[in-house]
Amino acid sequence: MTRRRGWEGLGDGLRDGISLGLTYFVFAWSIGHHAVVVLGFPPAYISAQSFLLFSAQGQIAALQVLSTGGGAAFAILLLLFINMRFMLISAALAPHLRTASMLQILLTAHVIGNGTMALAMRRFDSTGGQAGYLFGVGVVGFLGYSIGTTAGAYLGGALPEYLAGPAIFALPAFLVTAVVGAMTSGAGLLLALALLSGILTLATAWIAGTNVALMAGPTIAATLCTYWKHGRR
Amino acid sequence: MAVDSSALIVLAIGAVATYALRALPVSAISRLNLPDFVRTWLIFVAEAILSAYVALFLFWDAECSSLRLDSVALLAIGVVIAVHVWKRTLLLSIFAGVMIFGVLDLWLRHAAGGGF
Repeated sequence: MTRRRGWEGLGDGLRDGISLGLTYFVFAWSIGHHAVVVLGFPPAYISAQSFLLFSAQGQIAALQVLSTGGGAAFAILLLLFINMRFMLISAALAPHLRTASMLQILLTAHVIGNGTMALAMRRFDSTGGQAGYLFGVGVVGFLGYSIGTTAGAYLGGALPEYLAGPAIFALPAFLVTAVVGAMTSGAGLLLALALLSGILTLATAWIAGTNVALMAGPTIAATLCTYWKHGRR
Repeated sequence: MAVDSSALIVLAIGAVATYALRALPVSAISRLNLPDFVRTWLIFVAEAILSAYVALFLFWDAECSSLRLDSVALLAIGVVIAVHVWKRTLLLSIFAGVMIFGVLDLWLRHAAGGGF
């Protein structure tokens, strides 16, 4: 029988999540401001959307559809299509949560995102899966994002426009540190995977748009590298 | 601006469905014994997703739907990588990159006559 590890790692997750929470806060501020000032939605709606969806790209896409008079059905379909990437992220985390209870998994599911995954995967390389750690990181990231969006929606004008660019840069900077962490602790195959995924994603974006690319590029790259590692035996 | 019913419908259905997209794979797969190659694929796809985001942030112009080379962003990313390899401190790496990006961006605006 597999031993349950309860909330082991929760404290470490909350502590490590601070960097993610701050990054998301800065990044989300500009999203909240944009949604209110440019797309014309009430701050309360943007805030509720962030707490309930926790999905920057999906939210912006749905808001753009609604703001241009598009139908609710199209907005929902687009939102779900973009958010299908969460299926991949959740699936990637799943093998690390074998010792978690179903309640822990269901609670943690809402705070799963790319940043959460980035931090958790680095940790799990050395400790094995810890649902508590994932939940801790995720909750802090989720709060940073949701509060950041809310603050941007209500107080966005307080931030000078010339700070908007650097704010948006915070998230890619965070993700780059995650990729670099994998490179320096892993093998050359991970470098090849990163390059291949980047190239395939850009090529797919050029052909079919970024929403398709974010699913197709990583999937194809991971499949090819898996074949390279296992299929040649 | 008031929110109409369609926006509320999008919010309600979108929230439930997005939660399902997150919860179903993790709850189902975590209980399975997966073959080695599937576990490898799942690890690889996680790393590949991060690289895909970075590539789009750095090299894709969403407004024009075309490739771009943003020298300021590339330089700032170089700083992030250098600081992270050197110090291994997440916040310091991000802070250094954001500062460099902000300063260069401001300097370019000033040089172009855009002012602050």
